[in-house]
Amino acid sequence: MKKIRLTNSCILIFLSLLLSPTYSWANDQNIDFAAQENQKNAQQALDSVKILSKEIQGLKKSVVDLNKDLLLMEEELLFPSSTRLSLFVSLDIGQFFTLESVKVKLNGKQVASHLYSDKQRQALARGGVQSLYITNLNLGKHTIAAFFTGIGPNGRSYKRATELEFQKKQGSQYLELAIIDDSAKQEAKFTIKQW
Amino acid sequence: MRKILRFNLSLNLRTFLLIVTTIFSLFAATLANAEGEVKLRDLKYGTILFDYYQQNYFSSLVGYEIAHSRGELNHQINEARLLHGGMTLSYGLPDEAEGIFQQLLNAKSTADNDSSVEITDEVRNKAWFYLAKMYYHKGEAKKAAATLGYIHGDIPQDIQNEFNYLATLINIRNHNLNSAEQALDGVMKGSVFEPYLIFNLASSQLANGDTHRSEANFKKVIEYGKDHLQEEFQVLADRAKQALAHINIEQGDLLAAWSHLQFVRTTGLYSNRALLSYGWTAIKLERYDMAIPALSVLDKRSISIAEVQEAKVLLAHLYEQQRAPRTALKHYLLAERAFTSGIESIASARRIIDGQRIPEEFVINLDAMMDETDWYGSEPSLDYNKLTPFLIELMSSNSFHTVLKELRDLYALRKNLNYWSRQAKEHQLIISHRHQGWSSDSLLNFVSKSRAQKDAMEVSISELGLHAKTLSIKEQDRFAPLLDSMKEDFKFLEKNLKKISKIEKPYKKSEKTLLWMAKLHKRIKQQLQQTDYMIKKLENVMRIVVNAELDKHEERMRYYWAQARLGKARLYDQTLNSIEEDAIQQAGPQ
Repeated sequence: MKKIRLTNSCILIFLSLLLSPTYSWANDQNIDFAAQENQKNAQQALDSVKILSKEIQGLKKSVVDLNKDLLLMEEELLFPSSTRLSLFVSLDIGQFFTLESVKVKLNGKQVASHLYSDKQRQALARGGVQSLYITNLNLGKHTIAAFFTGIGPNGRSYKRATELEFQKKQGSQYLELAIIDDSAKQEAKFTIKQW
Repeated sequence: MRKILRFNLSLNLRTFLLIVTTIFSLFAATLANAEGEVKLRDLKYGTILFDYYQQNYFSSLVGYEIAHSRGELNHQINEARLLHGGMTLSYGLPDEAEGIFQQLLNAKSTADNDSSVEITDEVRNKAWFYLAKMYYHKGEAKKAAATLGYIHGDIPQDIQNEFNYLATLINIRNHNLNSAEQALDGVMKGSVFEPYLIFNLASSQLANGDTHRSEANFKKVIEYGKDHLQEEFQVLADRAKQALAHINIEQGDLLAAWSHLQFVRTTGLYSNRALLSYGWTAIKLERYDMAIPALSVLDKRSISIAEVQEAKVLLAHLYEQQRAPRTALKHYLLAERAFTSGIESIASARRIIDGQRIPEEFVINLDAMMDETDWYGSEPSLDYNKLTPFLIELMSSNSFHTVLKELRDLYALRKNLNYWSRQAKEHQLIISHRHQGWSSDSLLNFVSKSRAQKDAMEVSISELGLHAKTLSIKEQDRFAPLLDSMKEDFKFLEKNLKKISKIEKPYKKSEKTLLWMAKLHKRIKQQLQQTDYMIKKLENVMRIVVNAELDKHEERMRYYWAQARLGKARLYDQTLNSIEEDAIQQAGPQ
């Protein structure tokens, strides 16, 4: 990330310096190669963007609000709170395990799987939590099993699974597939937490 | 660590541009770094972070709004609000972000803060820091300096580097160059930002007329490049060498300038100006043979580059001066041909930009295309690439960047709203399907069909009971539990059927939800129209600006084309004159 941001800013800095009139010292530097009127219009057009930017900010805010409302409405339509079950993935540090993929079976049927990019892995390692799956479930007993694949200690490929029998109660229910570093055992621990 | 930097107030336009561009690209990463690895307490806060760390600011903002509206951010409310300010700013809503930071800072106690936790000094200091950064980004350096001054006590560990960096930038911008230099010798020593800050400082010193210190700092940048071989530092060193050459030329010390230019790399986007400068310096030093290789390298590059256009004519002129008329004529003719093709490229670029719709991909990927390093040495093949080289100078303009950024954001909004327009149809389909599935008629049919089945089953059960009585006692005992169980099941069925029969109207999604849904669908349409309108306006701005830029290129190219034609005519004239003179000489003795 560091490299990208420095490169981008650097390019802009250099371009601004490189192309500024002060640095053009060649013989033809005094020739004005721009039709004055057109350049004036261009500057006016660019200035008008400042005013437009205010309107765009307002629009962006409105679209964020609309998305919030639509998502809330859609969730109510498709996943009523009485039957909703949400599944999350978290990673605590990830020193002993590099997560590559996760697969989830609910009552014996595969319902979700995900392959992780570097960016997603980093986001998880820094405290982010992924919302993996959301579904409707009847009240009563259910079984969930999660299968994790990745790279374990010493760079070896690593596969682990964990299972939980849980009671779906009235109201929204949250389950967290947590990967936690176990410093004592020098390996990762895989658990399913109920919230 | 205590605050160690002081702020003075003043402004330099060039430094402003340099710094704004730097800070803009650094902000997002800065805030993310500053958050560091947080200890997770709120699950929903974690999902917001997940999007934020991936720089999906729109999604993270929507996630925050949802979690906030549901009251799901109980434990980390102040961290979440700080993050909210950062996300809002990163998403390009500075006014909104300012309000969020101010609100956070105004919360003095639990009584006037809607969270249950009083904000800590750390959160408060971070909020001041981000607010200062925001003012700086908006070009309000004085306000930024004053805001940084509100930070009390220790600087939070995770923003210490960023704080020092920002403070140094503000000092440079405000021409408090001594403080900036002190920071560079102290807290910023060894920082990843060090060479950039030194370069910026040197530029400001040069603009202030402090040539001596400016030279020393540019030399430091070159030295840094020797120890750090990454491309970005090599590019920076190249720029420093060019700057030193510029200083020497201003001082009339062409030899010293030339010695700096000799070490500038001959590849990359920034090599064009260096090669041309090298060529000119050699000519001024009357070392024509040294100028030719530099100009020849430029001669092979894309005609859309201003330096290449100048080099083509200059090279031919150089041969002319060196009394090599044939080679000079050849280069004038080649230059003419190149300029013809250049003018065609400009016409082609105009067609692209004047098209009914500016290609979205072009706007979205312009940065990536500009970052490509191979186009300068080759002829463009793709349509977009025909346009790209003409926009290098424009890309250094902050206003043009704003246009591009706003356009990209608007395209993303349009994509999002189009998605919701499709979803709206699905919402309606779901509702209408549910209504069809449970209409009064279908319910009535279901009940009457079930009643008929129940009556038939009742008869069957009673027949089975009678039939069982005809069996032996042993057989009757065997079938009795089965019959009892069947009767229980039947009672259950009867009970449920009675319940269903009592339903007068089938279940419908509440009127309130349907009304809400209709309102939301209407909002999608309205916002989509607004987005399209703004895209149209901004595309128009972009067309005007790009066309003005193309005008500039065309004028320049036509000027050099005319120079090439003049040179060619001059050589033809000389040739004719010499033929005439030869003829006269030959005719003379006769």
